[in-house]
Amino acid sequence: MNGGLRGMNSGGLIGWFLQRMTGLLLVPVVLLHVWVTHYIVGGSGVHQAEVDYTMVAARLSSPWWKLIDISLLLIVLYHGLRGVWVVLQEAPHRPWVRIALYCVILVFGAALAILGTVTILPFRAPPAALLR
Amino acid sequence: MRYRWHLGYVAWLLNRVTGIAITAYLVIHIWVIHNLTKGPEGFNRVMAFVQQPLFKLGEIALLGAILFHAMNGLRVLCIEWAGGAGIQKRLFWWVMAIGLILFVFGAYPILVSAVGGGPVETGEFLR
Repeated sequence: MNGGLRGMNSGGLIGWFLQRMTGLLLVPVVLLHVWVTHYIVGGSGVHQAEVDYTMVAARLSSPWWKLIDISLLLIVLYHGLRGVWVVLQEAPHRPWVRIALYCVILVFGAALAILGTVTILPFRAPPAALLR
Repeated sequence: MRYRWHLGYVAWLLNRVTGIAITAYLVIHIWVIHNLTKGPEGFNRVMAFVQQPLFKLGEIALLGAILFHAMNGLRVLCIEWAGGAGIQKRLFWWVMAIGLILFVFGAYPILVSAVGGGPVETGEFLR
């Protein structure tokens, strides 16, 4: 059943535990992310904020926000792609299909992690962009 | 057939559907935000496109999916780790009520910006 690779086992206790822990962590962090990027309080109450370069640049000028955003990126990618992997495993697959699917998800996840990290980590807004 | 649509089963199924949908969105989201490397003009052009009214409706659906997945996840944790199995059903309606309140609170401003006025510029209140 297990194709011989321990890390591929969706029923693994560590994997199961990590899915719960990352899930629990993601509840406040994702809600915070949605709140700070999409809402603004002022005037007659809560409004939807326009997301533009200036707004994102202001936030990413803080190394702490970079740390939070990169952590969120990596944790949510792990949680989401592992979830997809668990769902995919419900259908019976030949061992080579399983290994191929696992590799595809792994490479895809790594590519997205790199794409997201290179967006956030080296980001430096041109000084003019921070002035409205 | 009644057993098939048991509350726990529906919650389990919806958890998978929303999980897959959120992950699909995540892929697009990372791709779209990567446009930040194109500088102010490039990024703002893309963001103006994805903040049209039709996308706003998608955002409301996304908010609903995220809140369902998060609230249901907390319910699962309560059942598995906090001995909540005995009050499973009540727990489900409790977390869904909290989710619904957060949904109405979050969806309303998006709906307002979708049907009229458009989103508020961050600088508008800071001036």
